[in-house]
Amino acid sequence: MYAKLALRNARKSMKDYLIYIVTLMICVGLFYSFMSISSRYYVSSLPVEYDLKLLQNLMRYPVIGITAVLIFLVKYVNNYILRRKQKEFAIQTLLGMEQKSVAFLFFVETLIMGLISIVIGIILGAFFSQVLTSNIMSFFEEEYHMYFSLFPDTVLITVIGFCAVFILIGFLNIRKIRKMKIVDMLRANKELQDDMKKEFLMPFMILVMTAISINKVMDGLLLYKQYKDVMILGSRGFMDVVSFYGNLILPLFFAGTVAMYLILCIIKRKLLSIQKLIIILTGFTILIIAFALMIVAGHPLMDRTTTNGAYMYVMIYLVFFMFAVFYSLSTLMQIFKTKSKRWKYKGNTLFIVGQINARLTSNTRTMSILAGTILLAITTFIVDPILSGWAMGYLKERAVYDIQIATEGNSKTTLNTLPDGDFTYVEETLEEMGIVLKDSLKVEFYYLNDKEFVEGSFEQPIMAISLSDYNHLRAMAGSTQIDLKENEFSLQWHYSVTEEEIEKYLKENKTITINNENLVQANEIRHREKLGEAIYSFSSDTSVVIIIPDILCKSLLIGKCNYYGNAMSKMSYETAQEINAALNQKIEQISKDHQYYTELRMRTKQRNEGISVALLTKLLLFYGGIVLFVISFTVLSLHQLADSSDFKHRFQIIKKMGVSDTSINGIILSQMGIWFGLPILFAGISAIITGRFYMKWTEVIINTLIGSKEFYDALFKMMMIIIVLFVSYFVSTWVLFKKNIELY
Amino acid sequence: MKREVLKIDHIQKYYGNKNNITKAIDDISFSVYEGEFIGVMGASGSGKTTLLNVISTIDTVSAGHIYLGGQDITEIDDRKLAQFRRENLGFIFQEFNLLDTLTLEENISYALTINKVPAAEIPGKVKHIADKLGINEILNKYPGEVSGGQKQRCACARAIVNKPNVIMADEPTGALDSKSAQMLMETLISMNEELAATILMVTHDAFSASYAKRILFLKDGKIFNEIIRGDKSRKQFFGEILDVMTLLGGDLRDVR
Ligand SMILES: Nc1ncnc2c1ncn2[C@@H]1O[C@H](COP(=O)(O)OP(=O)(O)O)[C@@H](O)[C@H]1O
Ligand SMILES: [Mg+2]
Repeated sequence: MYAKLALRNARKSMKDYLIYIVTLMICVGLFYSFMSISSRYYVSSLPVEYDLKLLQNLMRYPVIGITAVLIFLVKYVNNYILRRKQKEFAIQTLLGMEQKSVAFLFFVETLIMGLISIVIGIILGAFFSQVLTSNIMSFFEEEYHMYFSLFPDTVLITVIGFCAVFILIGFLNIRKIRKMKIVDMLRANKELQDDMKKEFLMPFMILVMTAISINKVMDGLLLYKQYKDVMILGSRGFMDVVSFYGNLILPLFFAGTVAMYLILCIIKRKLLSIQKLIIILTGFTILIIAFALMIVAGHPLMDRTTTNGAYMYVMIYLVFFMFAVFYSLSTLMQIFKTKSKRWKYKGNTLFIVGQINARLTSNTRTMSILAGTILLAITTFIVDPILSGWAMGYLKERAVYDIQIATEGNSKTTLNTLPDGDFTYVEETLEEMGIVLKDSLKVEFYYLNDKEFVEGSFEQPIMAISLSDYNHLRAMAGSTQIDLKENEFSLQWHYSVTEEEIEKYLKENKTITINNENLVQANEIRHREKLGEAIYSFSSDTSVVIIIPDILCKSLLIGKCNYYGNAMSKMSYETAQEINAALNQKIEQISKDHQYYTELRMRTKQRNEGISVALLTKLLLFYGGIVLFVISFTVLSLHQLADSSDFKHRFQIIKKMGVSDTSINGIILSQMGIWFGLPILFAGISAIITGRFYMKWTEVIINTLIGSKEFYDALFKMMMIIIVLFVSYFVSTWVLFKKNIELY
Repeated sequence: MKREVLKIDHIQKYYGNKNNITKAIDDISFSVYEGEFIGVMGASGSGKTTLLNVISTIDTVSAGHIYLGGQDITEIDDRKLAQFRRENLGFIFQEFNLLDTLTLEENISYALTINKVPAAEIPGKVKHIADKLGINEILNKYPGEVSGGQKQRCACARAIVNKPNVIMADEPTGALDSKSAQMLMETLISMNEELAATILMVTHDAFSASYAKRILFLKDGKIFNEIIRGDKSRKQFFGEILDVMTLLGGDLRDVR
């Protein structure tokens, strides 16, 4: 009989539950789709040389971990529903139903809704899983046709996991409802608010920031000492002076203001309101951030430590700003209302400010945390293409040949135990395994003169390669040949070497001398062909190889010897593993007698592992970012939709007073725009500041490994996802809001 | 003869569908003249609120015409209705209809703002009206911080501050205790007499109604009776109202 009642109740309050279902649906769908990738049944039409096991194993637990964050959201939405239904509980109780049964009824109701959302969520997740898969396939550069299928193990873990969460939360609710007093039920469907009992967070943060500010003053003094002379002479003299004093004085003001407040409190023997204090501190914070950014932006004379240190300060002050700004906002609006008569009495400003203010005063902390969460989410979305692009680009850089073996002297190597270039074991092993090589090459690298070999040294000098070997390597990697005149040398650079470093090297090495023969720089001297990393010495300062004419090599000392091989047909992942194991075994035997390094790289393995890591980074960051967005947007949306009866009442009043429908629409839009916009604005500005820094920091990687166009395309895609997500949340909240307050 | 501010001309209002029609208003006609204080009485469900709603253009009539200041408001373009309302009507309702997010001062100012009164004039006007209605001391409080009677007086101030043609009051004393109700009625009287406001008040409370100059009795959507106070004292008028109510029938017992 209760089941029937619960079902009827559920149907009746469908509108209330809509948000609950949609939120849960999204959570379930997201979880299912990301979890499905690690399913046993996950079949992808990948060719033999790939194997997803690694990715699947790495994915599973992080996905579950990230999803745990979603429980917070489920609980939050559940609380929202609970609050909305309290009046109903009161009526049921007054009509004579036992409170125990009321609680149970609610439990069954939410469980039904939960089950519905699990079912829809899984179907949604199955579709989304296909979209993900086609993205994964594009990482492997494979075509993919979507199809629909459900994986039993993923379905099982989704159902069990979410049911467990529902039941847990349900039991907590049952306890809560059973303990409630009827009066409280009747009264308590007001505001979704933080408990504003005693606010400790902000005073605590202020004290911490004061300490940090004092620290910053110290740093400022050091910085001043360090750069004083050079800077004053510099061309940007004036700005530098401003920047220096700003960075010194502003944190001092910050700490000073707090000190003054404390002194005032002591004199007056009571705690004064911190509202005005926070406004002043917020102002200082903005200025401090701006001035610290001037250091971050850098000066040719400043070193990395200085700029990075300044960046840390920017981040810390940004976090404080995010909290302080929402604390001071309602006070600021109050001041604005008393000071600016002209704006106050214009149009519907008064009403909108009232609406926002009423919400803000009871939700400041939530708003700050939301802004922080959104910042984290946007940052995740900026970092995602950097990291995954990095991993992919790096892969392309090094996985160029099916087999690469590098041998190179180390600190134990003597003149007699330098790499001997004996790779017969490789060919033997390959033959045993039935691998036919299409092409293979042994490449020798030479010390420019015998003196460059220093016994016992940890460091290796830059070595040379003969033109013909270099061209052969290029051919094997599928690229064109280069020419070199008899008296010229050229250079092959590692991707990570910056243009400045190249410039510096070229300036210092206009010519090189080999066996009394002088070589000059060739016209084309900036080769950055992707030839794997084995050609560069493991332990040299600059990753560069010198290309010299063949005849000069004859008499040179060999310091490093590599083997390259390309197979006739593609190697499957399993075969690659076997060969890898067999070769490594042999290498171990050999290195017992020979005192040099040997490194083995196999393309199939490199690609598998590289792509798996890139994908893992991409998927997990994406998942994390989406989860954070969904959480913050849902909470923002609930803030607007909660207490719709209060909102409805207010809009009814102003409509009767003669505010036109178009004005009311405008009011709703600006109210929601401000509510959604503020945290996103603050988070967005902060994200731009921090994002700029990450990009500057990884500039070389973006330009060489990812390609700046590819990177900005990927970044643009991520930003589009944010915008689409935001717009859909905004629009659906707007529609629901208008439905909620539907007048007359 | 005073100017005719409001003319109700054979209006009807039906609710429901073909099978189940409620005649909330069944052919009502009357006129309101400038400076009048009219009470509309009737039992619960007799159509009072509906009448007020159609006059205030919140609802539409099924038939008939309503003229306000000579203009037929049943013919006004939907888009102009809001403007018409804010320029011609003031409202006081039973539930405290102040915006809980604004202070009393802001509640009154807001009514002026939406009527596009220049910002410079607003503080003065608010102060003037607050002085008249005795709410000057509490202007900076929020509705949640003052008593029901004070809230209603603020609602009165808001209704009259724009000098509307007619002020509509729907059960203004409905949620007040008798002392506050009396004070509010005195406020309304002073608005009527000193500020020359035309008031149309709906109530089912005989005591409140006794402050009006003329009373219309509604029953089942029709005008059942009409009495005029004339030179009678308020007490005499109160007695007369009770007599009519007895005539009206037993469903009007909740008199004070
Ligand atoms: N929106 C509506 N839909 C259907 N019937 C209504 C509606 N509003 C009022 N009524 C009916 O019209 C009649 C008059 O209602 P109302 O004007 O509210 O009376 P009063 O204010 O005098 O108590 C009542 O019978 C009521 O049930
Ligand atoms: Mg009514």
